[in-house]
Amino acid sequence: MDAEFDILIIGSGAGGGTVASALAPLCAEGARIAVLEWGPHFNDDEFTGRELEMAEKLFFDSGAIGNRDQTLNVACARGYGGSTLAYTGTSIEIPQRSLQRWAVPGLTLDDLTPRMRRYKEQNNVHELPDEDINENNQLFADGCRTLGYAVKRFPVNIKGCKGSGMCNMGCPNQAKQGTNRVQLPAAEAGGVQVITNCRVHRITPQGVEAEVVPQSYGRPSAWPIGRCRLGARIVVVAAGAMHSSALLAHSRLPVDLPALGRYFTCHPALTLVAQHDRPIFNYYGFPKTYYCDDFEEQDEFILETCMYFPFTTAKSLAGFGAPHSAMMADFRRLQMILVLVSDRAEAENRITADGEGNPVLHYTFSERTLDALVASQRIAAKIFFAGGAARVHAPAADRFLIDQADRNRVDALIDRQHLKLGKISVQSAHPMGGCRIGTDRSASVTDDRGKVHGLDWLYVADGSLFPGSSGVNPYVTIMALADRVAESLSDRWRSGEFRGRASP
Amino acid sequence: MDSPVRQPVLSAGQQRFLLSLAACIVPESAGAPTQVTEPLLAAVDEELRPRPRLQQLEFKLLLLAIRWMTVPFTLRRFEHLPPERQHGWLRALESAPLTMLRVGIWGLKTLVFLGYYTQAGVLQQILYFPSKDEGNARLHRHQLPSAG
Repeated sequence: MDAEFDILIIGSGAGGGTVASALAPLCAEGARIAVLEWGPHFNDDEFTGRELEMAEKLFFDSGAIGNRDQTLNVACARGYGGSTLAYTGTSIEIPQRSLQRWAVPGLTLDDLTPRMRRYKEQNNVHELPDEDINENNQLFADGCRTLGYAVKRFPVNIKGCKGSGMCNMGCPNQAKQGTNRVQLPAAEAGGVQVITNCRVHRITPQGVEAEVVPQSYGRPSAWPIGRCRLGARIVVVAAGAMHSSALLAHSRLPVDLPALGRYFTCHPALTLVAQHDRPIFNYYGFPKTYYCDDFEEQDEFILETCMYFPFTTAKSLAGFGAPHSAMMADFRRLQMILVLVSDRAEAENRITADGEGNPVLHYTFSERTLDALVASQRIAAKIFFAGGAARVHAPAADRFLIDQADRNRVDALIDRQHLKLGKISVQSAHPMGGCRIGTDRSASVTDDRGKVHGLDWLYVADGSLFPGSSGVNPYVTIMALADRVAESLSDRWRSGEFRGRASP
Repeated sequence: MDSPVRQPVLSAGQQRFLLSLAACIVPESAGAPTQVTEPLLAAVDEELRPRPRLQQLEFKLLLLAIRWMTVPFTLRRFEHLPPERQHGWLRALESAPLTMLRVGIWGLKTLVFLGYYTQAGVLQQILYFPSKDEGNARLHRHQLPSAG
């Protein structure tokens, strides 16, 4: 199947879905726009909540794309909606301090805030009412307050949530207002085509080489199975930080981009688990309600509530055998905190592509990141104990469990010497950078509107644009940056700049 | 026409050894009936199958190394050691100075947990009864998850 388009958008997550909906009005003016999504369009009843099945169907490499030495695992989802299928819908606006660190001329809070608010309104973002907050979350808030830490409630994008707690496996009740629920249906209603099960192999100056692949689940793709060559006047790459960088690296681009794939950051994270002496309400109800960013500015980590599933929890614990089994024996007694470090953008941390165009992640933990992982575990342990936990598991502790009797010795028991990379795999669900915005062509890939340096037909519109860590959950920031990309394209279309122009 | 029989990634001997390691990692799986061990092995096979051959080979080599590493010190293979000594050997590997070894043990643990903590019967035992539709309703009713 070969076809011609004015604008091709690769990826349908927070970036691609936003660009598609923002550009949809151009279809009424004659623009031919399509979204190419690698994954399937899942049917509502295919979100089964079965951990293994959903990990395999929703995520690349079952949710664990490893770095070269396998000490870090990054979760990247695929499907109609991209990673918005599998996040918790937390919608925090990027703070001024992060933009200051980015230091990109033109990228200001004054510009981004109205965009973030518009999408938050579209997505029904609000804070949960008290009655929907379960003990896993409430005990975190209690612990923080006891210790004098400020605790904040997450704004979340849910509508009609039934509290399944299965957000990270795809909401079984269609309550989460990701791009699969809001922006993509609006884009399709406006005339944008969305082609699922469609992997893009390469972007060339002659066009996009793609392939519709067979899939045993989800709705059938709108296009027949097989290779296709698609012409486009403009290509917008929004395949997520890992895959956008890899796709550009694998493509034969006629420009030199020395920063491509570099300055990758990912909010390295660990799940900490505590045990109570009694069952608590943990997996009934929304899993992620509170966070504490008191330590972001100084120590560069944040703490969030979370509640994962049995297999994910089991592998998050360092150790095995009888103590591990005793921890897992009654899942109702577990409380969890996610610690995330704002890692700094370093040129050596980068994404390349293998021979087939798949991302290869080169990531080394800095001393600063490792120190922050330890410091955050100490704080999390104190919050657990202040909330009444009987025992705490921290991967950087000298023992499997710290008993409440030792709560005053947490700083000594959790120590850098016990944090052994590889003993526990550090996780990431916030890949950022690789096609960073900037003005210096040697240290950035795109301008502040996502246009790739030296190529006026190629744009990037996802988390790979981030010049550094966002310091908070990145989703609405991605939407705001994607909105800027769409605005720029819309202006160019309406000025007639690329209407009727031959494909690149 | 019959469909071809799919060969498991691990040989029968490797599967038996993996089960003895599983008993060390998740003690409840020791002597578990085939209703538990077969799904465990099947899940591990499903996970290994799509991996590159090199990764499959690395995993098989890890199993081989663990099995024989104890012989020079104890004159017995790993699976013939008492459980507490097996645990000690694996613990030493989990904290080994070489990152590659630690990653290997983490991978082994992850496969065993994947095969065990995704089984419906095991989820019942650990009192994990999520509800797609009634999580909030049960929270509002103060109805804790229970086997009944």
